[in-house]
Amino acid sequence: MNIRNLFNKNHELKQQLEQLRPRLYRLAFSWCQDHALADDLAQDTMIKALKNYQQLKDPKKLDSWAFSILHNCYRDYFRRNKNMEDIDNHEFEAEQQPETDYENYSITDAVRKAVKDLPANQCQIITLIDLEGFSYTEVAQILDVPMGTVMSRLCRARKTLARKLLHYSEETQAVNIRRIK
Amino acid sequence: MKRNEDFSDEVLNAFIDGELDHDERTQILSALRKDQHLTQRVCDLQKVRGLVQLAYSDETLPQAIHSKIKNDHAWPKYSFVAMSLILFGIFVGWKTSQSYYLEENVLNFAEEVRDFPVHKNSNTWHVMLHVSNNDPRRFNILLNETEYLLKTHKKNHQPIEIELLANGKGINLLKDKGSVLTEKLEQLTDKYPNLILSACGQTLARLEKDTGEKVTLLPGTNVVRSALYQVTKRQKEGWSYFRI
Repeated sequence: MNIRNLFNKNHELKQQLEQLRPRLYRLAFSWCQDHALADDLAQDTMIKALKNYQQLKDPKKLDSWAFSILHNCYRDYFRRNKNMEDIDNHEFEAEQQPETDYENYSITDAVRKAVKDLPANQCQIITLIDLEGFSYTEVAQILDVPMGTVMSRLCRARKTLARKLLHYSEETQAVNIRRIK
Repeated sequence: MKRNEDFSDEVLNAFIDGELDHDERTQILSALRKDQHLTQRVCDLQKVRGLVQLAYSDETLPQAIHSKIKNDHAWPKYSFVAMSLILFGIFVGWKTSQSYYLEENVLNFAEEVRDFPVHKNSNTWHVMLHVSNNDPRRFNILLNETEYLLKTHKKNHQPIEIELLANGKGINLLKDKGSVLTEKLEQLTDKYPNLILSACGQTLARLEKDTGEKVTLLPGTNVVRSALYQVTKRQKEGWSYFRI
């Protein structure tokens, strides 16, 4: 082990942030459903974390601190681009192909669409809790909202998803199971 | 004794997220024993949580656009960094041991609600245990708990059917590679015909595409279309679902 690295703050922080990167990316993707934008948001978050590392009082809270930066990056992005509309969000007639029909049919897509269609503040809370496993207190700190708000928004989000998703499997075709000999 | 209508959705959400203290949790677990409507509400919330987790479980950084932070080699300025890293390690270790505790609680909860099989036409308790990571410690928990459930139900003449579902990195558990864990799993399937092994077809297809080699699974393993589909299907059929 290179002893110099042990004392190299930037190097260690970068390593920790690199480990966090897949989680930051996944959460950002669940919020925006855009691979490139999610990667940009994760990258911005890591750069800002490195730049403002002095603000992190308790190193044990690196995770929740980094996710609160991600939340700010996401909010800033939509403030900057509030008048822009992504052309990929429009569905054109020619896109109604068997392939796209199949995609719309898959449960993963249905769940992701239902999550994305939630109001942004509900979407962020349910993904922070379900995907990242943060406690209600941590989510309240990350998003800077009262814990009661976290609980009520989570409740509304799960109710909406239950209404949209729990009967989904009835509409899908029977599963084919093959057995390996 | 509190009844179904006495518990708000906020409280039930806090229950499944492990946010309640011991007394509140005990109160709900007691009510669950006697109130099938309450059990259904809790199961529905768990299903929603499971669906959200599964929908993003395979989402990884796209290699094409993945770029690392530029590496500038600044030299150390503060010696307390080492201590911070040690504290961070302790924090991670503590969280890991806590998650083990939570897993045990989930299985305790499974035991608590076993008196309410919602499967329409049978008294058999149907349980799906799902693993999607490559953590040997979790594999161990999964196998030990599976063996315990099968053994105790057989001893008490209570019918049970368990499906072990693996996707993502969890597929390693079902690979026929002769490890201690897979050998133990093979022994269990030989001994208990009511233990079903299922592997996610999408994960297998992706692995075979990436490596160019066919994945050999343990004999008798079912290949299902996708983990998400199988979980939804089983939950619809009234199976209890637990992710390890």
